[in-house]
Amino acid sequence: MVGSILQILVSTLTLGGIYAISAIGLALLWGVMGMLNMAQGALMAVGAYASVYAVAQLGIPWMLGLPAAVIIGGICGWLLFFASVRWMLGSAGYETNIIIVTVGFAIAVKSLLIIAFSGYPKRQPFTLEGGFQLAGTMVPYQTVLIVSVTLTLMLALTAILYKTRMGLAIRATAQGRRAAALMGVPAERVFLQVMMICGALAAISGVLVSSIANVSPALGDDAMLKVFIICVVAGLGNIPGTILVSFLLALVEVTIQYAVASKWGFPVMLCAAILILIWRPAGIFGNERIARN
Amino acid sequence: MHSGLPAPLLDITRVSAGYGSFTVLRDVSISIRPGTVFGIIGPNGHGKTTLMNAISGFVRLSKGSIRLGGQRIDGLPPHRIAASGVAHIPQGDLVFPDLSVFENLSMGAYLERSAARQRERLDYVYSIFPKLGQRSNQCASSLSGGERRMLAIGRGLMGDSRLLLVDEPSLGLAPIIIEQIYEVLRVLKKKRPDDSGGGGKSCPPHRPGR
Repeated sequence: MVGSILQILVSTLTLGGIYAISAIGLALLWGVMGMLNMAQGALMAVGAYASVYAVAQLGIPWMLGLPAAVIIGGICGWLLFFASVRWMLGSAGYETNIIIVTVGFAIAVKSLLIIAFSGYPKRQPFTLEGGFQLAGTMVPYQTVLIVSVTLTLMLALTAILYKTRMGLAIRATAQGRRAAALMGVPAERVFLQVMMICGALAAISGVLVSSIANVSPALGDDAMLKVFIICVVAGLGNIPGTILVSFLLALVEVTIQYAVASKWGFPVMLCAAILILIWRPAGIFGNERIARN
Repeated sequence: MHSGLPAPLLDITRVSAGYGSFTVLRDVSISIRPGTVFGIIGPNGHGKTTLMNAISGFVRLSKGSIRLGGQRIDGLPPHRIAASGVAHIPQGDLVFPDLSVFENLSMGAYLERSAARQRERLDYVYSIFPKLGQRSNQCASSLSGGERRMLAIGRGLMGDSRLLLVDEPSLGLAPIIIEQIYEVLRVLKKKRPDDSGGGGKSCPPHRPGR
């Protein structure tokens, strides 16, 4: 019994952490730029492949696969910004158009990945073999690695957002683009920062997801869906809430997978999301102010 | 060169502006000298806010020019105009609702890199609005209407501005609060402690409305 609970907790921490990293990126993009990023899944795949390529072709140590993914993810965010978002922000129908543009970006990126790496699944080099026994439960080192990466990132992001001048400007821009401009904040620079952070977060999340499954161009699709649900349930744009809901929904998913059957994990998580949204249509931590944005 | 009168701080020359094809301002010329208060008074819908938004760059000019201290600022994006020394306290305050009072004020000093000067200005704002000091860790959305107006004005005073634009400082406030706000605006005419010489304050308070 203790073993099962421990097993569930460990899996929840792993999955929840991966979801949270990706979801924070989406929440930031929505909160700051009113942008639903449908390319999140593709950016995750890019990150996973960046790590594979850097380790296999450039011969760098496996640990550096993650920084490689961060750099490539950041560049993708930069590209997406200058190739599309920058020219569309504030235009009529922006919030719908940007969804279509990012869908297109995702298709293009995934096609490029298939051309470059073929569609065959690859192994993610950012992995640790083995594990240790904890109260009779086997805890893989990979889990420890994932949990430490995600926790470090969450702390780092919180520090950036709540303790730095850049973070203050990002939060201010999210709450009032016009007022932030009156304070001398160059909105475009803030948007670019947020897009690059989001690209890097998606890439990291892609590396981590692929380290417990495998690397394929579609690896982010399933995760992106869940991450969207997490963002909506948390209340779009709320970052601490997003982190909490990531772990909450991961807990639901893992518990059901463990106690009932693997295939029921996602459907039950969806039902939980629907029930929460009936109870609180703007999300658990959402409010009208965010909805009005 | 030695005309006796100081050069204008703000020079609005034959400005026309509006929204789309709808012209609101037609051929407006205003000149404001440093260290003066300039009021623009008129009924609703006559372009007072539009003029302020034209100065701070949110409304594009179709004709004319705006100069601050001799430099043209029209056509610059709003954040560059703010950086050139215009503090605009907008109608409706536009405080950052989920930031604390302290963070809102910090945003007002976003362009000020020196922590010592930020601290000095913060102390100054807390000295004229002691209420803000008491509530420095409170979320701005939890403030009353009067406190929010104080926060918006305080935030506008945190920067290194030469020109203070105050749009409708008394709108929607109780008479006793309006008195307090006007008292502060009167005090502001005197220089702030860290003002370097020559940079006065021009403060067009909007429609005294009492």
